[in-house]
Amino acid sequence: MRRARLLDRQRQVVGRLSWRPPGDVEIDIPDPDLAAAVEALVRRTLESGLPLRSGGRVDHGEGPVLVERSELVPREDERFLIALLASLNRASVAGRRVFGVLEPEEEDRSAGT
Amino acid sequence: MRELDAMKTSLEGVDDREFGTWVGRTEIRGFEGCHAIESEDLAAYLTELIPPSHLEGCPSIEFDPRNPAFLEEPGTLGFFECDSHAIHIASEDSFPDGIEGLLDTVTHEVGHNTHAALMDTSPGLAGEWEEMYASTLRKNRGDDLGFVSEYAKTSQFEDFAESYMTYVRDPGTLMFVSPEKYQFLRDHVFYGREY
Repeated sequence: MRRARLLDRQRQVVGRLSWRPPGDVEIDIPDPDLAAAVEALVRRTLESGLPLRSGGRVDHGEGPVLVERSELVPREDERFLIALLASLNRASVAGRRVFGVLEPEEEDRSAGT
Repeated sequence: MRELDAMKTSLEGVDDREFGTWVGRTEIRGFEGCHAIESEDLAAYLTELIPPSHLEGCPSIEFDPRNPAFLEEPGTLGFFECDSHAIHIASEDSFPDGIEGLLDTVTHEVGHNTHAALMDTSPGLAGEWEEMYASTLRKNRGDDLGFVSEYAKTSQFEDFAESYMTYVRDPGTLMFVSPEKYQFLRDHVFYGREY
């Protein structure tokens, strides 16, 4: 299970998201407008998956290169929550900016999940 | 008139791509084959938003979808050659976010060029960045703040390029996740310019 907090610009927690196998996303956001907007985004992306950027240094015959890639992460992938946060972090949601912060996996384990 | 005719004759058979658009000494080429943006528009984007010195040493930004690197690894968006500093950009179809995603990638790759120049010309500052990356990584074990993306966590190089791209394209996010990196880029890389 992966968990994340949603923070506003003042770093106040405005909600929580969690992902658990086989691909369920739980949304706990008290503000109804924000909750509805996040739920709509999640609904749209559960079917299509979400892009996630990655990359790094690769050495090939013509010398080292720094490569950037993108892959579509389906809901079943445990990185789905990371991709969801990346989408949320780049957009206004219900007219406001929120920032998703992934909680460390250690916390997940200590929470008994 | 004869000179003009002679010039036309000498140009026959020359690939149009040889006549790219230039930003400083960087050639923007091949985007005529891109449906999302043309070379001139990308040049205008770079001229408006990127300090000229950030392109120094970069010979070209090329729309290059037939490059084997893109054909062999679908999903590759772009790459920066560490030796030549040339930047290659994949087919527009590779970008899930369309033109905005393509501009994100171009800006990210320019960030690599800027970081390479910083390491060459200001090793002290480059060392400061490296230390900031390492200390963020240490602190990050208890929280996820400090990096603009998971991708940024993978190395100081990607952290610089991702933070650079975010400084230009979404400054509020960088200011939120890492005021320290925002301040570093503003003061030492963008010479005080904010977006």
